[in-house]
Amino acid sequence: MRTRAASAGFGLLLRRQYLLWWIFAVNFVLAALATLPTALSMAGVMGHSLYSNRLVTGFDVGVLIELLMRPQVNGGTTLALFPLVFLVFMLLVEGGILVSYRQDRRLGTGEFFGAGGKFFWRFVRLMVCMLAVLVPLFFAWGALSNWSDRLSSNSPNPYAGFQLELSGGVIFLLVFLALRLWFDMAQVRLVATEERSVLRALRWALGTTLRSFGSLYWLFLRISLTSWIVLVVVVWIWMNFVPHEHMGLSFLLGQFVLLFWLAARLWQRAGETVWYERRIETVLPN
Amino acid sequence: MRRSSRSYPMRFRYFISLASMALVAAAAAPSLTAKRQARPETAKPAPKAAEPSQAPSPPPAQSISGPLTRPFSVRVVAYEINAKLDPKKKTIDATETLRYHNLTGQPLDTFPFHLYLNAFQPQSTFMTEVHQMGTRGTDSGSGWNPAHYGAITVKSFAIEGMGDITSQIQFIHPDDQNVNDRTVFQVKLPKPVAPNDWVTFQIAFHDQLPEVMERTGYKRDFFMVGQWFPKVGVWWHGAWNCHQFHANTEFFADFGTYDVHITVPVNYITGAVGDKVSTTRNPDGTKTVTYQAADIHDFSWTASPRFHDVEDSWTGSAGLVHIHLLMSPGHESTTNRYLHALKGALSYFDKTYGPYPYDTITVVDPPNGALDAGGMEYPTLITAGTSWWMPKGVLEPEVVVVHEFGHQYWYGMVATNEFEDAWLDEGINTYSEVKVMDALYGPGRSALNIHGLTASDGEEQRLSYLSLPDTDPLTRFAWQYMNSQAYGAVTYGKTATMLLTLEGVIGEQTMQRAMRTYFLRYRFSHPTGADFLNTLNEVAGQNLSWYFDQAVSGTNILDYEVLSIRSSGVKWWEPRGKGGTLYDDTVLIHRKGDFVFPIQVRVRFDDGKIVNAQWDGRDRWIRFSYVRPDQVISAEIDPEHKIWLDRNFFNNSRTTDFQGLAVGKLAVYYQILDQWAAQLVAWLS
Repeated sequence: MRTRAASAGFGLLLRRQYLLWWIFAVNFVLAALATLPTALSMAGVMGHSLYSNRLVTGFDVGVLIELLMRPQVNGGTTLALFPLVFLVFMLLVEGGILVSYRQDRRLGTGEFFGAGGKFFWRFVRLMVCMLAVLVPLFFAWGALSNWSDRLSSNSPNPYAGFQLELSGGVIFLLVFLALRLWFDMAQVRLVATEERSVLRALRWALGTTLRSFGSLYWLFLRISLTSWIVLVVVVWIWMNFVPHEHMGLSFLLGQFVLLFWLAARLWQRAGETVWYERRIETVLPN
Repeated sequence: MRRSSRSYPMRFRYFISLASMALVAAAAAPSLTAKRQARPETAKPAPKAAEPSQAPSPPPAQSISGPLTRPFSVRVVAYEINAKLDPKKKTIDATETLRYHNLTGQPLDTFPFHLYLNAFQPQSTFMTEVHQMGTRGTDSGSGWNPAHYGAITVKSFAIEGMGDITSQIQFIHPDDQNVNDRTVFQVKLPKPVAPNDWVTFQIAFHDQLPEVMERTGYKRDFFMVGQWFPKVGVWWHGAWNCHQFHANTEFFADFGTYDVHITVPVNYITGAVGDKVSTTRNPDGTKTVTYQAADIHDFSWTASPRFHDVEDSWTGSAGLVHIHLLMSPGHESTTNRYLHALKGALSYFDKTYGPYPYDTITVVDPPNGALDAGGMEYPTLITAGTSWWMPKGVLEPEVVVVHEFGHQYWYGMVATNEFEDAWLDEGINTYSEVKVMDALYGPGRSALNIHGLTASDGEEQRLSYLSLPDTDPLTRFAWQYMNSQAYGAVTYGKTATMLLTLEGVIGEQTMQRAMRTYFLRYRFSHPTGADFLNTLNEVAGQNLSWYFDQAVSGTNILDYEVLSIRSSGVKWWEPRGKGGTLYDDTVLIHRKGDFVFPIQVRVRFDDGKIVNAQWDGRDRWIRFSYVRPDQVISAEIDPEHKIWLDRNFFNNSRTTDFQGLAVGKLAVYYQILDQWAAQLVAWLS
C-alpha cells in the first residue's frame, strides 16, 4: 500500500536531507555576513560601554532605540539586501532541488547546479508571472485595510475593523498559499517535462491544481500549518522560559525554528513532486 | 494635553451652595475655612451658582502654610451658560452670561474674547500651521478634510446697561497678520468699566462641532465639547493676553465660577467639569443637566448614549473625591487600569505636592475612532485613551491618565500661560508624570513591561528630547517653535529631562520640597517661568542660574565622554611582570558639547578598587592620572545616572574589556530576523 503524498514527501525530504542542511547553511552564513556590518557598528558604539549592560540582563528598549539613533550605527543596508540575495540563490538552486527529488538521488555538484542553471530563467519568468498575479491581490489587501481602518474609526462596534482585517487577512493568506501551490506545480511540471514555455506550464498547473484542489491544497496547507504551530510554540517557550541573558538558548531556538521552516518548505516541494509522479505520470504515457 | 510633606491640617469643602456663596460674598472680612463634605449621591436641587467674590480686593495667592480657604482663587469671571446639543446636526445653540470683575486697577473699555472653534477652518492660523508643520494626529502637508470644519458664531452680543453691540465685534490677530483667522475678537464698550466694578456680557452663540480633532468634536454619537464658548482673555502684566489659537498652543484663562445647563437627548450620559447638581427631564425627549464649579478657569463637557459610568472614590488629605469614569464600549478591560493609575496619581500628588481640593474628578474614555479627543485636561475632567486590544504591559493608558491628572496641578491650579510658557504646564507635568509612573509601576519599566522588554517613562521623555535637542529653548512661545515635533520634544521631553537632571544636582528631597513650595505658593494664580525658577533657587538655597541659563533659556548640548583609559608601567622601559610594577593609569574625559556641567567620574582598577573623581566640567578636557600597582579597567562619567540631559550615554563609560554580550545578543536577534525575512521572501521563488 502506498503512503500518502505528504508522508512520502517527508520521507523524500529525510532521504535527501543534505539539501536541507546545505540551504540552511547558506541561509545562516549569508545572514551572518549581512549582520556583520551592523554588529560591528554597534560594537563601535557600545563595545566598551558599561551602558550596554542594560541590554544583557533584560532588554531595555529605550537603550536599543538610543543605540539606533546614533549616526555611527549602520542602518542595515546589507540586512535589507540579504533576503534579495537569498531569493536569487533559491531561484538558482530550485531546479536542482526538484531534479534531486524527482530522481530521488543525490546529485553531484555539477549536476545539481547544471539543473539549477537550466531552469533558472524559466523560474525567474514564473516569479515575474506570480508577482503580476499578486499585484491585484496586494491592491485588494490595501483596499481591505483601508476599509478596516474606516470601520475601526467609524463603526460603533470597536472590534469591527479588527474582525474584518483578521478575517480578510486569513482569506488573503489562504489565497496566497493557493497561488504558491499553483506556481509550485508549474515548477514541478517544467522540471518533469523540461518544457520551455512557462505559460503552457502555468496553464497546465492551473487546470491540474483546480481539478485536484482538495488533495493538493490539503497537502500544502497542513505542512504550512505545522510550521506556524512550531513557530508559535517556540516563541511561547522563548518568551516564558528563556532568560534574556541566555543568548545561546535563544540562538538555538531561533535556528531550530528557521531550520523547521526551511524543512517545511522543502517538504512541500517533495510532497508536490511525489504527488505529480503518482497522479500525473502514472496516467500520462511517457 | 498628552502628546500628551506636610499634611494639610484643615480639610475643606468644595461644593457650591447659597450658604457658602453668601459667606464668600460677604467676605470682606477674612474668609472662612469650610470643611469638605461628601457630596450626596443623588442629585440635589440646583442651588444658585457660586458667584464671584464681591470683595473689593481679591485675596492674594494662597499662603503656603495656612489652610486653603474659600474662595481658593481670585474669581475674575462668572459664566452662566445654557446650551442645547443637536446630536444630528452636531451643533450647539447656547446663551452665555458672563460677569467680569475688573480687578486690573484701571478702567477697561476693550475686551477680547476667544472663539477657539473657528480654528477648524482651512484659512485659520491654526489650520495653516497644522498644514505646514503638523500636529498631533495630523501630519504636515495633510489635505483639508471638510469633516473637520468647526465654527462658532456669535449671534448677539449685549452688555447689561449698555445695550447690544453685536455690530461692534471686530476680529483681531494679535500674533500674526492672518486676516482670515477668526479665533479672537474684541469689543469696545460704549463706556469703560471702572476699576473694581463689574460688567455683564449677554452672548448668544452657535457652535458647529468638527469631527473630533485636537481635543474637541464628535464621533458618531460621542461628543467631546471643549473650547466651545466665547471666553474672555486675561488681563495679565498690564495688558490683555488673548492669543489666537495655534497648532501647538493650548489655553489661558482667568479663574472664576461656572454654572452650565446642558440639554441633551434623554438617553445621553453626560460628564463635565465640576459637580452635577441637577437633572431635569424636558417634555421634548431631552433632559437638562446642570453642572457647577468654582475656582476653575475652563469648562468642557462630554455626552454619549454609550458611556458606562463607573463610580468610585478616593480619600486624600482634603477629603473625599468622587471618581467618575465614563467608559466606552469595548474598553472594559482597561477600567481597573485607569482607576489604579488615577488613584495612584491622586495619592502621589496629594502627598508630594499638596492637596487636591476639588471633590470630583471625571475621566472620559473616548470610543474607538475618537482618540483625538483623548489625552486632554480640563479642570476636574480629563480625557484618557485606550483600545480594546491594549496589552497590559503597554502602559500608555496609565501614562495618559497620570499625565492628564497631573494637569489638575500644573495647569488647573497652577494656571500658567500655556500659550507663552508651555513648558511650565506640559513640561513640569511630564516630569511629575515620570515620578508617579516610576513610583507606581517601578523605575525602568514604567512605560513598557512585556516579557522582559522594558522601557521607562523617563527614558521615553529623554528619547523625545534627543530627537531634537537643540532647536528651541524651553522659554519659546508655543507657536514659535521650529515645528510641531520640536514643540513636543522640547516642551515635554526636554523639560522633564532637565528637571530630572536638576533633581540629581539638588537632591530628590530638595526637589520635592521645591515643587511643593511652588505648588502651594502659586496655586490658583498665574505664575511665570521666573516664579518657578526663583522658587527652585530659594528652596535649593543656591543660585542655579548657571544651569537654567543653559538648560532653560539656552539650547546647549550636554555631552561628556570618556575619551580613553590607559595603563602603562611607570618604568615602561623595563620588561613587564617584574615584581612591584607600578602603573601610570590615565583617564581622559572630554566635553563634547557646549553645556558645562560638573561631573563625577568613577574609575575602577583591576584589583576591584574604585576611585571617584570630580570635575567642574568647564575646560574642554581633563586627564585624571593615578600611579598605582593596579591597572585601570573602566571609567564612568555620572555613574549614578543622574545627568539625564547628557546626549549620549554610551560614551559616558569606557572599559578595557570588550562588552560583547550586548553586541552578541543584538547580532543574534538581527541574524534570526534576517534569516526569517529571507525565507519569507524566498516564497516568491
